[in-house]
Amino acid sequence: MSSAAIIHATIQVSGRRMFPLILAVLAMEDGDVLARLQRREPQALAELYDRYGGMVYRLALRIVRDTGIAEDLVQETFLRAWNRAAAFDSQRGAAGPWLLAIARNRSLDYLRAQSRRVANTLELNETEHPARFVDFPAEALNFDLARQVKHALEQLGPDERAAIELAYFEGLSQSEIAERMAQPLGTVKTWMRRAMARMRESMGSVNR
Amino acid sequence: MTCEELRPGYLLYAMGTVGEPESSELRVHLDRGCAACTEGLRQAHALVYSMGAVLAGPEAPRELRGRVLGISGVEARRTQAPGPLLPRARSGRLWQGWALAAAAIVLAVIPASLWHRQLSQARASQAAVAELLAEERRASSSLRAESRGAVPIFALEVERGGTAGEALKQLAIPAGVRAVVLALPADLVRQASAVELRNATGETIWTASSLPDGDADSTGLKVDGRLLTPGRYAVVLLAGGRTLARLPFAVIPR
Repeated sequence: MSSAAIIHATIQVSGRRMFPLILAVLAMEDGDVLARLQRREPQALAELYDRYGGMVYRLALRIVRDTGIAEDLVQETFLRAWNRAAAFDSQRGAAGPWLLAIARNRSLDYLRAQSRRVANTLELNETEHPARFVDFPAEALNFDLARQVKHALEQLGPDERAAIELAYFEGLSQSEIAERMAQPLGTVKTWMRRAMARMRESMGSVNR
Repeated sequence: MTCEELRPGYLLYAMGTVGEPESSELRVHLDRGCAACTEGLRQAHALVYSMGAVLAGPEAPRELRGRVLGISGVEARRTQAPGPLLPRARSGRLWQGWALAAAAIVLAVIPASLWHRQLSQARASQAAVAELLAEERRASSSLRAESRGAVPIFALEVERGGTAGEALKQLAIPAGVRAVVLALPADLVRQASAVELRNATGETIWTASSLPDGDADSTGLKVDGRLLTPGRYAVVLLAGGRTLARLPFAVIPR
């Protein structure tokens, strides 16, 4: 299947390291590398890391906010992919979304363990099941859509955005978000619904 | 519930943050083959992916690549000394095949603040090991918070490979090890009724009779790290009173 990767680079301005700039999107074939990963070819792991390692690291770091832990989680993510590649449909599965799902789950597991919070939501492992990444919407792997999502998130009101981010980056359910934000559950549901509607709108056909 | 009622939950479901009963209701609905909700959920997965894919932030440290590639042994092969740890003549015999035994042992030290940072050196390439490491990390979080000291754990991958009695590799275990994860071939463990760790004199120093089951390539068993002082050992898998396999390895002084 055809996939895409966002290429990041870092620039130096007056000696200060700036956030990565998204420079370009390259269409790449993940199917081949996944097939080789299934044959346990080490070079395939290297290629997969080169494509998605940075993305995985940034997500883990955003969630756990500790560089050392984030590095460990990246390693766990690729270890899991290495061990579970056989279950992946190399021709129809999307490697990037799968890796990000694994990284997010491992990171949220870590947060939960730290806070001794019991998972009362959908089993996270389910969200990284290889079957979920078969025939992944091609448009989602397109940089323009990703940029639209980012823009949509930035346009949300502070409460709506906070609610969405608590769900995504901390894995909180709506009830937990309501508790965290000291708001009635109904209010949080309204924010979430509104936020999702706005994101859908910004994404054109998505979720229509 | 109707599609209209379920639609607001797509995104949360894709994020894995839908509680019950909404989660079950959506699953039942999907199981009925609702094309609209299936497509909606597929798009929600795409949205969730996009949220992670566009994050700004620092680049991953350069050395992380080496750690990750260590999972498959890429880096290890590139950097290891060419000579075998055992004399060539002996290691040649090791690969004569029918016998189980001999151990390829992979170790990882996990400093407290930066958990299995050196796992790349370990090449612990089995899911069971990863999961046990994660479990250990969770269990040790309070300890880390208190001490910021070492919470070492070893992932010790034991494979079949040569003639019984020959240790394929010898490894030094750094000081202060609390736990060692023995990663054993899962197909052997599935056949076994008990697993024993024996020292050089054949004395059983640790036994596991309640063996985990699973479909991973290997099964991880955690033992007290203090048991593994320098010396020769063997993991012995027993089935109905007979020895199913003997997987020897050696621990050498640091």
